Amino acid sequence: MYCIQCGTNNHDQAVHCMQCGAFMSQQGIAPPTPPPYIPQIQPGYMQPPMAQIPNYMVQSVLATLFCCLPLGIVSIFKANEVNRKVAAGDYAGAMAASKANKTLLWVSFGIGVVGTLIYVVAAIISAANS
Amino acid sequence: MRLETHRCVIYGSALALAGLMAALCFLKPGATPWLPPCPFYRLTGLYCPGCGSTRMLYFLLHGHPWLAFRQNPLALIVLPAVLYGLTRQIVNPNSPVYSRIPARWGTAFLLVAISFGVARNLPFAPFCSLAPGGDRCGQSRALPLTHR
Repeated sequence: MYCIQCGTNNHDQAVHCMQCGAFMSQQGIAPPTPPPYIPQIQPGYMQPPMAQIPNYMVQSVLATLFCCLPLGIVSIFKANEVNRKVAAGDYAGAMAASKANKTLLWVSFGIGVVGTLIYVVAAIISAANS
Repeated sequence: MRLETHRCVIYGSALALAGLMAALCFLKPGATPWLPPCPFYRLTGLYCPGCGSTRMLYFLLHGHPWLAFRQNPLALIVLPAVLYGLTRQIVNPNSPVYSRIPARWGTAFLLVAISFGVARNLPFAPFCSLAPGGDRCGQSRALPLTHR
């Protein structure tokens, strides 16, 4: 057993270090603490804690009710999948579902905006022709 | 998860809803090219769970809660929860809004939304009352705005 003060190798049952006299009891030696888990953080990205993984339920309901798209129903299903996987402790699965829902919502939003623009342009052209 | 796109989703959806509500203060659905009819209805002739939600907002903003309810009861009932969730997300983008609701509740809401979508297409009472403005009960002419 090595002395934590001076590093001298002492007898395993020694109470005091024979070199410096420091206390050698096991109680005096702090057990090595494992380093705290630090997730690898990439620049520009953040790893939210489990409870903060966004499910975008609000946006999914908005997409269903105000975008008039059946795609919104899939979004609600995905948002629910996030909840289910968070409850099951599946961090990676919950993150994947969250990202998938975010992509779906962008697609819904894009279809809504492009569809509106096409309709408006068509309405203006038909008004100009009549 | 990219922080920027996360905030874009939140602010984008909030701005879209706020923009729609602001537009509805001046524009009347069915009387302007800026509020197109539902493409799903155009393609299939069927009412989706969201059909009538724009007119629901229009009537609500113009002080006709009953007419709003007749256009889309589900959207009117869900609207306060959506506004609350959006407000919380804007105040704190990391707040886990509705993410701890048990999955069976989410499934229940999904089933309600899908059943609502199916029921409002049935052409007989009492389900026809769920169509936008009660269209398929032959009451559409009594309402200021008809479905196009």
